[in-house]
Amino acid sequence: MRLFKYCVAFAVLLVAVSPALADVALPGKERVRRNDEIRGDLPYSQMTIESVEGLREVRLQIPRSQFARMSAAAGIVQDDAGVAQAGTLKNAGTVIAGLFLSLAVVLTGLLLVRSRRRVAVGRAAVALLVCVCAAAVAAVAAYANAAPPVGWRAQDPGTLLKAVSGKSLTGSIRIEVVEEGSGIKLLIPAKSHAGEEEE
Amino acid sequence: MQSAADIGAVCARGGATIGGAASTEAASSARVFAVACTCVLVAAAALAGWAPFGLSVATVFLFAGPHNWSELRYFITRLPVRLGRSRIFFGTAAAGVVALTASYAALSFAPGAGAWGEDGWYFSTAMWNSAAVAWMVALVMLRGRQTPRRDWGWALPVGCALVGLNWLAPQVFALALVYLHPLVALWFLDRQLRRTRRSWSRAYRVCLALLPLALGVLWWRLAASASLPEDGALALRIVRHAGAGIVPGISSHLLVSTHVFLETLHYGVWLVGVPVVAGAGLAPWRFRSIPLVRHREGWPRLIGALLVAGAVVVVVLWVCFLADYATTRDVYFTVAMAHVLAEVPFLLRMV
Repeated sequence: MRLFKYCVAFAVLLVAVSPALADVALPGKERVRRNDEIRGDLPYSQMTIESVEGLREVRLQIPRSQFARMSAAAGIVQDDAGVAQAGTLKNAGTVIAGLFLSLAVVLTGLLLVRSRRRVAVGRAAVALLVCVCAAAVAAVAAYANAAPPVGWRAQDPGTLLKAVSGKSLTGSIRIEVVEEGSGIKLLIPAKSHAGEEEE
Repeated sequence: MQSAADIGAVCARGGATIGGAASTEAASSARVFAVACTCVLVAAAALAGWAPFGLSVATVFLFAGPHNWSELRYFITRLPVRLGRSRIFFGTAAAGVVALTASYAALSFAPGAGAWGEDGWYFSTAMWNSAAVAWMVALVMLRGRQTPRRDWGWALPVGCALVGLNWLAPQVFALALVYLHPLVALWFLDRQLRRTRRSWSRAYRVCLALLPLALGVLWWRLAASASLPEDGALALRIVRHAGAGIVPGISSHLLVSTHVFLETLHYGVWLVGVPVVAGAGLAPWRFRSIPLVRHREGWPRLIGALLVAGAVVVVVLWVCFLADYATTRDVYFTVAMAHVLAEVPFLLRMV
């Protein structure tokens, strides 16, 4: 009976603490991103560099569908629904995690109570230890508000590497949002039109 | 290949001399098995540490298809002719394998998936993981109903805990599956040994105890090594598959070597270990040893067609690997989720 009371008290404590910790604010230091780090948190897209005959200026074409998603990912206000969704998914995930972990602790307690006559003290202690470890991991993750690991899909630069000559290239470009296509295109004039700028 | 039953029959029939000879022979064969296992373990660890990219490319090219066929053959052999009370269990298993594999492939190849961003991938991965855990818990509960002598009630709290942890870090959870999957093959081999080669079981478990040691040596040697170069599409895929980018601060050389080491053991178990231990009944050319083929209520044509089609797919996979290794690798590891999931119900039937 004493073990049951301890389990119930522990479960109640965890249920009460989990949502509270989940609301702890982010620590006030920003993570420094290295250049060689793979930024799986950023959206990705196919990109094509084309040389276009008769084009007068460099043009970056972004399909509207990509542009909308990139804006949402960057937190740019487009519509209320998009902004709300970007912020709430993570919080919802933490809440769901807390609920399921609490449920696991409660179910373990119920299981032990139901079979208390058959369960040895050693087994009960092991079950309790597992619960404590799971709760500790959850609490640490929730407190640290650990960002989910970055996306792990391999981004193949393909033949774009050949566009790099070793020295930096600079020039102004025109950004255009287009309706068709799914990849980003960088259109470069096939011939130089220096001195013909209108702006 | 002599089964444990044959050895038992010999013992029962013969006197002390024959029984003693059989026992000596069993002990000797167990020693040979243990030495072979140890050699494979050490060789795989050494190769994985020394040439992780090369071993990864070679093993996936050579063994990915055949080991799937071998697993298919094994699972078909273990399917009962009459499902009876297991109808719901196998129905749930099949539905889960199909639905989860299809949704996994849809997530991987969905148009525009690249632009989902961090939130989109977080949510979709966590949802898929949760569905997979729920399916496994359902299978455990169904299995528990069939074997009331064992208490399977723990599945629900464990499942809840796993779903909870998954929502904290869905991609770490998915990566854990990548590393745990090869170990499941070792569990299958253990169960098969208990059924058909009980005298080898002890030696095998001693060898299993060497696995943490081999991993420890591998990690100790590679902990401070430089990360592998990610030049080219293939290298990038292999490194990312092993979890580089998900587990920060760990050398990708260590990650890839560990993954390749475990994968090599996984292929070895399914292509050599399980067939050898199971005996002649699992020889690829002996279709008649499959209960579903042999039994008058079985489906010999369907099973035959399935196995032949599987063999054709293996050859097609080799051709595709030769044509475009990187793309085929992507497609293979997406579709191969089916065999990862299919192992769950059959393992549950064996424990």
